[in-house]
Amino acid sequence: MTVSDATRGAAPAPYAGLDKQFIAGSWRDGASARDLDDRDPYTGETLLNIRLASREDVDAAYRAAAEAQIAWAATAPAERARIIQRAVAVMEARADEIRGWITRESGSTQVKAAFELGAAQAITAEAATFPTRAHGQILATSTPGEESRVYRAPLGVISVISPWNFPLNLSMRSVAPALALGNAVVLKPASDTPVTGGTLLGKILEEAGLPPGLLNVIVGSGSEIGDYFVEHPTPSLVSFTGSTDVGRRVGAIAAGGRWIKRVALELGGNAPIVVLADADPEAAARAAVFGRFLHQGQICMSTNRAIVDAGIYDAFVEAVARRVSGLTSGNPADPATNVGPIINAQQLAGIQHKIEAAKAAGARLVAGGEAQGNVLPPHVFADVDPEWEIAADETFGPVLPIIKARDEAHALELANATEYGLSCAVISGNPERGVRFARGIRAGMAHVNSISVDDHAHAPFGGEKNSGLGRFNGEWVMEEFTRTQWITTRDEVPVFPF
Amino acid sequence: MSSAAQVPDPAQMQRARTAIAQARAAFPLWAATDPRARRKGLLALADALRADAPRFQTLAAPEAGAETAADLRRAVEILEAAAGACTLPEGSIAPMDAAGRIQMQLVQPRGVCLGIVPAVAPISHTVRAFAFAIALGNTVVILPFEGSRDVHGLIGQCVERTGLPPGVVGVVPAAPGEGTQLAAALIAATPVRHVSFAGPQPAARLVGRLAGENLKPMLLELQGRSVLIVLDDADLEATADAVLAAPDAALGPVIVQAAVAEALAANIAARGGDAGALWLLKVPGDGAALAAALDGAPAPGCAIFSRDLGRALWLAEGVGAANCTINRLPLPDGGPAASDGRFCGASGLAEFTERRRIGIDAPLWPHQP
Repeated sequence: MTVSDATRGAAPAPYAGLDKQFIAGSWRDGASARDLDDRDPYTGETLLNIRLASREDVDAAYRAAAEAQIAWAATAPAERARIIQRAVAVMEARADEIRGWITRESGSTQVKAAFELGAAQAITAEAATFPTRAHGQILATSTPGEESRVYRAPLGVISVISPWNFPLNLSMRSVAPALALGNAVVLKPASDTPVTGGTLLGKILEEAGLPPGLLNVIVGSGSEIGDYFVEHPTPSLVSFTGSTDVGRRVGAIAAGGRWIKRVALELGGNAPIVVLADADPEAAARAAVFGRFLHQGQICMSTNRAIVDAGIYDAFVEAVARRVSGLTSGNPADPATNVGPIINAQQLAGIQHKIEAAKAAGARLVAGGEAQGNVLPPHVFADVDPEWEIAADETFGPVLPIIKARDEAHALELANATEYGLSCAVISGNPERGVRFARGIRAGMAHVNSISVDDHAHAPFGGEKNSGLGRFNGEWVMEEFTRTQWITTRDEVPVFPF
Repeated sequence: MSSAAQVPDPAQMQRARTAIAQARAAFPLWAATDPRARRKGLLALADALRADAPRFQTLAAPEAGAETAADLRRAVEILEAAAGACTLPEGSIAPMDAAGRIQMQLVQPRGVCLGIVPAVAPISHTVRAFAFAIALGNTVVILPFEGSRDVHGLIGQCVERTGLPPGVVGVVPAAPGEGTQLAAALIAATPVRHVSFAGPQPAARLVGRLAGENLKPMLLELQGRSVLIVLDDADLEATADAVLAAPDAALGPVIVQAAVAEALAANIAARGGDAGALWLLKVPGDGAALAAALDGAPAPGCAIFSRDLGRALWLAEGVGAANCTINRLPLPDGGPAASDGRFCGASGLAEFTERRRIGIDAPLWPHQP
């Protein structure tokens, strides 16, 4: 199978061997005594079984990465760009296969699977422009005869730890830029999505012609290799996307361990959709429902709460209830399904616990229903107290709490009353009024008259407060994944004061 | 101006040549001056202008006091913004190419820049013509096209008092009507590497032709009447106030949506104005307003009045004016601002510098992405 076949439209044979570790360019079993069943969260069926990686596997992956990176950094930018660009073509040729994996492994509906593949292709195409954009600078100096330059160089080896909710995209948005900029990568996907967050990327980049050792995929258990993976002396940066609790630990080890390294952390969120008094309640309900129930609410940017001006509160609640009653939940492979399964039974139990707590606290249940397997029908609560767990915490599930705001000032206060600051949505009949309101929200991203879930490969992506550190995408990730070195030079050594 | 063109007297021509020679002589040292010293000079000049506010005021007509204060304030802001340009990067290092060569791009000052400035808002226009240019290491000769005024002399005194080296900023005094001849001589002068101009269209054509003939890079900023667009949801009282506050020479056509045309005229009349004296164009909708604005001669300025920022922004983006304002007129005296156009900021950096490439064989250099 070559890329030219793929781009001619011949159906490529599906990848085999996705159940292996990818180390130093070869696919092999891990050396741990433990294994992992990779399950379809909807059917419960075991998709494949993976022999997990040991600490020795981690060492081998880092060693291969460090060795391969030296020649890679010296490879012409145009050549690096071509390989990354080919990965885009591979994803295009294998779109059905990749969407199928996203559906089966992460319980994604067809809308979400297409969205995710599109986002992964977009950041890969953007990353293919990075090799020729990573410029250094020549600076002014105050001394005649002195040259002052800033060289830009790759960091070296970058560790990537990705989550299970948007595994392909949230792995690729670190992997592709890191490689494009001359780094090598060791990728550790989440245990729920070892293929779509890990081995699938290994296959795609291998097919694109990436030299061996530059991308390594390690599938292992957090308890066995998690800390070891982060505290390892080889990587210069750990890019972690996941929960705030784990992110804190990653940050503590990376910055406070024996080997200090950079971190890029994209953590939890508690995005509000704020509906201002001049909004159309129907339009606002449209955004709230899609922004919350896309991928069952399992997105860091998902609309975790609706904050609605008292003036249109009743109309909004009524419109949301009507829309939600029309949603279908069930088999994610069915294109008609809006809400698929929760990733696993443990996550489901956590969501159900929050739902019961909200009911006990006196929240008004506007929509709901019993879980069938891992599929939980969309839930909507009205008259929610912002202090309740269901509004104050991030809920990775199909639950929309609605909070009434007295006025615009109160709405802003509520929007900011959270430890998180990732994304938000503002709905207003006057877009520039929405922009003014959004600028008052301490969040890295805000979308006026749209949903809180968005990603442009050339726009800064990241959060404030406990939502993390740093920015992905575009020129921002170029800055994160490279280092500067300031070099001055003079023709002669000057005479110093002593 | 062309009808009144005069041949400058020989002494005047000699002064122009001297200014060029001094700027040429000052350039290499100024370009090599510690950027921190250049920055200090710009900030000292800002202080000097501020300290001379009373003298600038005495030069202005009594009724123009507020305009002069605004003109001076903007000049100071431009100098302060330009101070930030002194330490901007002086080049970039591109990733190596496929053949393994490193490419450096140097960003260097052009040399002697000629700034031809208009009579309106003389302080800020004059300062804008040299501020970013000298911050980046150029030297500048200023020619007041419509004749020198005392204010140019006063700016020159401030420059001298600041301690900027002689020749870094020079002003060629011009008598009314001499501008054409002096401009021709200065633009053709070999050391002049860049020509900038702000002013009305006929003079811009002349400057553009001369700069083109002499292969000098040029920056032309055309000044003229502003278009007003009044949408049907505008605050008509505020709009009428703005229309009446605009100097006659600054006001072009008023494009007003038919639904509010009479009400606007009534508001103008209620304030003692004469709506009949305005060039009113009635249009039905937003699209027609945009079409009417685009149909006319290109206007440098456009003011849009509407309570709906979204509608106003849509028009502002489409109308193609260099300077658009929403719910207020462009600056009444046509003066510039520190964030303005191609003279300042990132655009000023591009305008007042040249790029030179240097290709280097990579083996001499540490590898890099």
